[in-house]
Amino acid sequence: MKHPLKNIGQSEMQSPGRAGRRAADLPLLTGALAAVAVIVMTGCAPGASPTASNASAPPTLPPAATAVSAPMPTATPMTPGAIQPPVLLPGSPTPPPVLSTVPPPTVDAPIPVTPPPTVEPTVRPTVDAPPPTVEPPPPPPINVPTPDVVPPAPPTGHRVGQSAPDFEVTTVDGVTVSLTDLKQVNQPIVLYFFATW
Amino acid sequence: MYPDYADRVLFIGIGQDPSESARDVREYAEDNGYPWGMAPYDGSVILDYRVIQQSSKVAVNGAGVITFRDGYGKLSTGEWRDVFEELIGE
Repeated sequence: MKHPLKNIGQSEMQSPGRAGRRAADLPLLTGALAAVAVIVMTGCAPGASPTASNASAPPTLPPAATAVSAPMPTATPMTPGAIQPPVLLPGSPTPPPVLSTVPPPTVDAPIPVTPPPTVEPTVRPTVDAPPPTVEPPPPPPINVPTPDVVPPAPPTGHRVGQSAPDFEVTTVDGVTVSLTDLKQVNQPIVLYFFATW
Repeated sequence: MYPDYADRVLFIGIGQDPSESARDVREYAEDNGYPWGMAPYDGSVILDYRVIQQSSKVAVNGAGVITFRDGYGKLSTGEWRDVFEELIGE
C-alpha cells in the first residue's frame, strides 16, 4: 500500500488550483496532522510513533509539503506538565477546543485551618496563698462623747475583791436584810459572825 | 465609834451556833447593849461566806464587793475606823 507521505510526485505538489490541491493533498494533510498530534502528545522527535509498515524509519515530511505554503509551524517548547495546544496547519479543520490550561493548584498552598479555641486552665488557689485580709473597723469619730464604760463585776466569792454572795436574813426584831436590796441603794454593810458563848 | 458611822454603814450580827435560838440571841444583844441588828443562825450564809472562825468580820461596799475580811479576834478602834472609812469612801 502506498504510504500517503511517500512517493508523492513533484507534479502532484505543483498542481495549480486550490481545488486540485485539496483532492491530492488530503491524505498528505491527514498524515501530517497525525504526526504533529503525536509529537504534541508525546513530546518527542518525530519517529517515535511506529506504524505497521515503517516501524524502524522515522516519518518524514515530503518535500512537497514544505514548498506549498509557509513553513511548518513549529511547536512551542514543551514544559513538563504543561499541555500545549495543537498546532494548526493551513487548511486544517478546526481542532477541538483546547482544555483550560489552568495549572492545577499547587500542593504548597496552605489550607486555612482554624485553630482550636484556647481554654485557659482554671487557676486553683495554691496552698501558700495568703489568707484574705480583714480590714480593721474604722476608729470612732472625734468630738463624740464616749459612753461610760462600766467595768465588769468581779466573780462571786468569799475573798476580798470578789462579789459578795447574795443573802437574806431576818433580825430578832423582824427586820429583813437582803444584799440585793442594799446594792440597789448603794448601802455598804458589815457582817459580824458571833456566838453567845 | 459605831454611832459615828451608823447612818452610813449597816452593821448586822449573824449567829454561828445552830443550837442558839432567836430568843437566846435577843437576850445576848440586850445584855450587851448592842444597838445594831442581830440575826440567829443561818447555814446558807455561813457556807457561802466560808465562815470557819468565831467572830469573823466581812465588809461589803455598796457595789457588793468584799473590801475587808478578818477571822477570830478583836479589832482596835483604829482598825475599825479604817474599815468604815474605806466603805464610805467608795
